[in-house]
Amino acid sequence: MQEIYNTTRKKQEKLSIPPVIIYVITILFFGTMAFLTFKARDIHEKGLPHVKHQKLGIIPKDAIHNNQVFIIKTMVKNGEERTFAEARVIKTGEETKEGYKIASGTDMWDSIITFSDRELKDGAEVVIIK
Amino acid sequence: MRNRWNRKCIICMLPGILGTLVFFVIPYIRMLYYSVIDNQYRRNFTGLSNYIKTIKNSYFILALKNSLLLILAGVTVLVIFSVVLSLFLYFGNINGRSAFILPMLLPTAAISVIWREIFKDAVTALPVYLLFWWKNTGICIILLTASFAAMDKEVFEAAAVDGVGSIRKHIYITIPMNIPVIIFTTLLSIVNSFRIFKESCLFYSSNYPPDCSYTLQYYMNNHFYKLDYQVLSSAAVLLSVFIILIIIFCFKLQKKYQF
Amino acid sequence: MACKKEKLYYKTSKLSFIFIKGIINVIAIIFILPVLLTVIKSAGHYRELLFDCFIFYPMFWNSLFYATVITIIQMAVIIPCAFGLSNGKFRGRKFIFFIYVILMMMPFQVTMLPNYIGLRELGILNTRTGIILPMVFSPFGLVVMHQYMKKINTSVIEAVRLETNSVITVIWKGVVPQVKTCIMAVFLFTFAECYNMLEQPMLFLKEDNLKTLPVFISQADKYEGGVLFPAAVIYMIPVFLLYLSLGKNLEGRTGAGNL
Repeated sequence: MQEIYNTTRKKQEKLSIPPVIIYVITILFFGTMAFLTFKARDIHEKGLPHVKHQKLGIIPKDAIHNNQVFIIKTMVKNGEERTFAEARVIKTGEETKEGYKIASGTDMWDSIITFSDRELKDGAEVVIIK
Repeated sequence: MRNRWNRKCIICMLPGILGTLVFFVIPYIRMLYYSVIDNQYRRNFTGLSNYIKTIKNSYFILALKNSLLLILAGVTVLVIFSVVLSLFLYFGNINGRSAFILPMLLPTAAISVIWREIFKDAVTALPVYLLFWWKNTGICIILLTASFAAMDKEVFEAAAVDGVGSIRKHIYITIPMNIPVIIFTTLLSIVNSFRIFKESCLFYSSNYPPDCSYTLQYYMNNHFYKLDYQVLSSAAVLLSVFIILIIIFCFKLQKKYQF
Repeated sequence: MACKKEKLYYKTSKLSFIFIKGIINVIAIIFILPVLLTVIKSAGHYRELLFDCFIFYPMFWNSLFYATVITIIQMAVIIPCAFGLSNGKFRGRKFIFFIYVILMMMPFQVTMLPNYIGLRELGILNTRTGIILPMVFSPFGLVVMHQYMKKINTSVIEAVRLETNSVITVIWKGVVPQVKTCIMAVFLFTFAECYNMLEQPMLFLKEDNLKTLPVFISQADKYEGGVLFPAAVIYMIPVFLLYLSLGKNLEGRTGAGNL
């Protein structure tokens, strides 16, 4: 006896992505993540100002603009310690051949930025170079 | 020959059994031990006083009430919803299955981010319930449609001869024939309702959720951080006894309906 | 006797049926909606995450590492164990299986404390091994695998046993090809479960380098806003890819409804 009812189901359309594309996407994804794991920090630091700093002593003239210097502040950002530049208004003291001595405006333990390869803004992240 | 083969089979089993013993069974027995002593250092046997102290704790009662509410309301709605949905999906030849399976596999942390965005100002425990239903519909649909596929279709043929309409056909034929699977789905959903703690913790992103969502696992987690081992152990033992009772109940129920 | 010709599956032209199909499609879209929203909201924040939040990378690779290693070792341990449990003939088989079922259904909080103390005594508390080992012996895989192994063809095993005496070859040649679907399903589920681990890294690990992504997402307030959405998307991608490549094997799970 023939089948009296229709038991054939419509074939379920599955998401038919050919396996090749999946492999390509996988390799691309993991390759990018691996690349970024090693290089992301360097890429990030390339865009930051590189600075030199010193504690106390004589500050060169070009580190002071409009009675303002930048000091180094370490803060925890995104789970890590990062260095930032913070602007401080100062009053200059004695003037010597190399630069100025700071009379007031900064604390004794602050590190003052003496050189920077880019223009600094208040609160910007910086990278310290030797 | 038989005995050598048997011995080799048993040796095969050894790594798995040993690992489970060390990491699951022995800790459980130790926990039973912790729940009947009063202090880590003095180790006096105190009998059931820890249990009584736990049961009388108001936070424990709140947690128990919320957990029970989650099980009863959440699992009932989930089972009914997925039974209806799988009936439509299977017998109606609709193609939406992948959409329901996807939430099951997605990691919970990824979802809790967007859930927090959507339900930023929810007062009740509704987001947790929605998350529970969203996540567990998939596995229920898989089990139910697999069981529908394995069903004997000739009963429908006989029913068609008798002139049964479609809705009645399903109520009186499909569901009674699949009761063992429905019971298993309910059991699985109850187990998953305990696992929803992870989602709930990520959703509230703190260990102290609002009162309406404070379930047993929060209670135990917080006591773990407070190093209150005795309360933690007694609550855990009570929870495990509760689960064992549910499992035995479901086993017996399934045996009764199996044919 | 003239049998009435009755379609088992609904006529797709009935208006009410089209209405129901529309509703189910809407429900399916609602189910996928959170995923789509996450992807949409993550646009524009990738720079913040990938180039500013360097703690993300160790956690990402950690999640993948734990999930892969745990799953692979678990396969190697569980297949012989399930084989021994289903084919060996010794007393207490049902009892052992019952214990496994009970352990499978316990939430993590029940054995959380003794696990902590046990790991501390073994000296692996703050290491990767301490996370991997307990999850390797998780009972879920064994229960599912055992259900499948009960149904395999013993004649194949006997045939392979005629040729070789080592159990490993018997398992590899005789059993594994038959339970391939089940192995794929357990692989996927265990991977998803281990990829999802939140409580173990949070409680058992102290160093941030060893932790996993869910911990990252749960500590939302430590990071600037907007970082979480791209993190969720990147977190979802590996599991999604795995599902796409192996997912078709998931469809063939039948008979999983009976304990």
